[in-house]
Amino acid sequence: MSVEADLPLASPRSIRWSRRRASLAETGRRIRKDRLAVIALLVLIGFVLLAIITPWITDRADFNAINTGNNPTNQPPNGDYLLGTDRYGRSVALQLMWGARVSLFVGFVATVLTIVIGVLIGLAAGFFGGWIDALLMRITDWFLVIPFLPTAIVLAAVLERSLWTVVLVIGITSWPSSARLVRSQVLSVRERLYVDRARALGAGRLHIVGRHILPNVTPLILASATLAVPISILTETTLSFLGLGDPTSISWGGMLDQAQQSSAVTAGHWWYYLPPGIAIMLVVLAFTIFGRALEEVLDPRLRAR
Amino acid sequence: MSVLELRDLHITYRTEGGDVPAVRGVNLTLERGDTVGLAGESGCGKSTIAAAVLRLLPKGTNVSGQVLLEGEDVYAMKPGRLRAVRWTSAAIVFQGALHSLNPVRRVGHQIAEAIRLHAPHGSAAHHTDARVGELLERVGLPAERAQHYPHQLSGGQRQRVLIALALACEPKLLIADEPTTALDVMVQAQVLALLEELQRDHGLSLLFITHDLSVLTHTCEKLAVMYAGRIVEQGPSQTVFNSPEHPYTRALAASFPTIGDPASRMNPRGLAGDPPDPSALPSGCPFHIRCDVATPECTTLDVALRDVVSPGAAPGRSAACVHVGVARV
Amino acid sequence: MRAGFVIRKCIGAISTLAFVVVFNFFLFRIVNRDPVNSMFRGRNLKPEKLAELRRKFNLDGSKWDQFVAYLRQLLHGDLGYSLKGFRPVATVIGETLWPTVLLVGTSTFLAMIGITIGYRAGWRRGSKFDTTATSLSMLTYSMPEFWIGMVFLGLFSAKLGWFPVGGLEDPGSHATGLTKWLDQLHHMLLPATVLGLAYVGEYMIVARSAMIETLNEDYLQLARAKGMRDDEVRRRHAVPNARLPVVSLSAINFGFIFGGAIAVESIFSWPGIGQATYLAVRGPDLPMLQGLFLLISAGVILANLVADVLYGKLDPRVAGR
Repeated sequence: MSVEADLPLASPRSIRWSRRRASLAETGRRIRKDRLAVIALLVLIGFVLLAIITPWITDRADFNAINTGNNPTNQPPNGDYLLGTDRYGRSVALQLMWGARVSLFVGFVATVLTIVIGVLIGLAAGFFGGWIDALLMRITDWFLVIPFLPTAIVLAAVLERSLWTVVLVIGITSWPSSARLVRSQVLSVRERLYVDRARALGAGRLHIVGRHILPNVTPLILASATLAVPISILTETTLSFLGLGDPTSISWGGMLDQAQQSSAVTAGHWWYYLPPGIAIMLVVLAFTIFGRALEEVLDPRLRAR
Repeated sequence: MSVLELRDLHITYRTEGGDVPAVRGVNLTLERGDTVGLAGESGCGKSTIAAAVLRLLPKGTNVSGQVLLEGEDVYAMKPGRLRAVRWTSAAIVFQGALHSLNPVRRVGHQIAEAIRLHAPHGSAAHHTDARVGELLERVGLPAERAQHYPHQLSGGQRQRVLIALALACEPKLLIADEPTTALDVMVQAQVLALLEELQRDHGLSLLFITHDLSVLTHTCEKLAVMYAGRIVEQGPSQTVFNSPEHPYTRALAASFPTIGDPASRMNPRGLAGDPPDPSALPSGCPFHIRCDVATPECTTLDVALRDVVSPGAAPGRSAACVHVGVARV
Repeated sequence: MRAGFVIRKCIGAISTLAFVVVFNFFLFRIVNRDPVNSMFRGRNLKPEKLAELRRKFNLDGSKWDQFVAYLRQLLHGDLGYSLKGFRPVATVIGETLWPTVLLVGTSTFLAMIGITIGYRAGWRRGSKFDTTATSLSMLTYSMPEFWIGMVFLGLFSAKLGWFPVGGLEDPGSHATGLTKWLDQLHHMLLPATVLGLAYVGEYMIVARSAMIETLNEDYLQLARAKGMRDDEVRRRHAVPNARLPVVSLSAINFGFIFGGAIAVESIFSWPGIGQATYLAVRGPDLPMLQGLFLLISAGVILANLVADVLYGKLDPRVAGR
């Protein structure tokens, strides 16, 4: 072994890393060629920055000053209130900025949970095979067939109202498709020769999963995660609209709920319900466009198209 | 009038990575009843020619030169005329019978469809059905197979269905594009025998495309060997196979064991290297990199196909190689 | 098609339904330890009253006893009592069934126009038609369906006054026959369009990629070689194959439309299962919600079963096995 260290050859580890760096650079290069994907990424970065700086440039306490004399209610957009005010006289623009934090937070964290559950179950099913696979896939099929949103609604309804409930509910209802994806990838990677070779060399199961299978499925997981974020955001919006969100924080779905409760639509208070919807649309659209571009680059089956 | 004539045919695919010249100046003539074999490695352009005859190349592909079917230029036809000519003047036995048949349609339906497309209006359904049964029996399948779906048939049976399908409109020219590649040896021999028999009985012209030179010498009178989009050698098939002139043909022929000669079987001489990338062909003769008799002039000089006149050479042969003897002017 | 195939699919559907029943019990009796408490949160009921309510809702006794009692009730079609007026859940749901069947059926039909658009877009991939259809699909996909409902309601009902602001028919109307029918149609047009619009893109994308999958198949080349017109090749050879993935995904989409109906019905005050769910969530009226979830799941499972059987009919390779 010491002989190897003396040779001017690159170690397997450094070869692996330089390969990964190269493929990352290649991914970046391909994405950059897609104009629309670049715009989408910029929009996303804009929203994330907005969500991050909001606590520094605004005061959350402004929401508590409701229905006082100097807070006019249901005001259309004007110089003081860029997007007008709601029925309690709170600034819609301010709510929109704080809402971005909740929507993006739930979108990201719920997606991470979804992917973690999906990867664990998919890896287990694909790797162990046999009855474990059969059982896990049966459960996956059940979750795929039962309607996603009603399930999320009843789950949220029986649990305590909080942001973490929303995250948990999305995680529990959204994992099956990523489990399926990971399982099929594991099966195809497992068929490839080098895993057999690793096993012949006496590699343990964990080693095979960590060194050979996970690195191979990571790109696809990444692409599907990017496409799962907008679904999480839309689900959070719907749950909040139905009154199942966190009552103590403001989210875009919660704003739409408030607008609905105050009959903003029939009263013609468009500034109340248009901005949150447009914000949701922009974020979801940007994630979808970027995710599809990423998928096209990372999934060799789609690249030919 | 020739059944098929290719005149200085050039075909260039347009891809994202740039233009790929797949066929670079091919001349070929098939008279009535002719059987011509087109051989070469994958990527040499032989399947492109098959698709080009019926104008089936992907949109945007650049085609220059002429493809004449019974004297009529296929690339000058109006759409309606082109559709009428397809399958009646020339039909193709496609490779890969599993994928060429529609998996969700009964095979009889797929044969009947071709008949109906070209039948004069008002031909009765039971006539079509009878004709489908007749065609299936002609290729050695029971008429009831018409009710089967492709996945219910074996590979050999599917290939027979494809042949029956090609015969549906009694074409004058049959193009067989690697019809036996996916089959095992016994079935391969049966299908070949069937094709030969049909060709004889119907007086068909046959353009047989394959990478398997030994198959061609059996089935075809004439042989054309392609390399990098060009015909590099042409002549009567037995003589081309037994005493090849072009170094490429020689290497190709040598890669097949001679039956009955254990020495050749134990010591097959393959061809080293890969066929050249059509989008980046080497200078001079495109074969010079893999050629064992290449000389410096081969790297700059690209010789066109010309008649072979060497002592003892059979008549009607031509080759595209600097080192092959030619007629003195 | 073999009977064995259908039987296998039926067993699969029954197992899913059994899972939903267990899941339902688990949710409402185990995750939520004391449903009575959470239902009457903040109403300050006396302990005796709570105990009586627990007895009434079968919430006393061990979990196993409760489960057996729950199953026995289910088998008798008894879904328990709604907290609103203590009416049987089954009766309340029965009243809301027809409006939802009408609305979801119509919007599914509208959304399925997306399939035809998707086939054409995929067939002419990269064309102007394809780019336009794909962009519009992604746009509608990105909007929450109930928000589209709010925008449409604000524009076409509140501002322009073209459509009623909600409900199944004009209040106090005693019209019968065609007039009643037309009145309901007038009320349904906007919510059905909204739901249809929200999901047309999903169908379009699915059909488009299914079509693209088939584009390079050799049998299309063979059909062209036979002398078929391009549109015939698409209709007779490409579509029958592209239809297969579309059928199975349509069933899943049907579940999505059902989910979307919950918020959209509440926006348009459409007296269906969706609005009932919305009200049950707001209550909270847990027995009602439990019954609704069971019913919606059963509907979606049935739709999946139909899709599976249809798939077997459309693809000879599947059912033969």
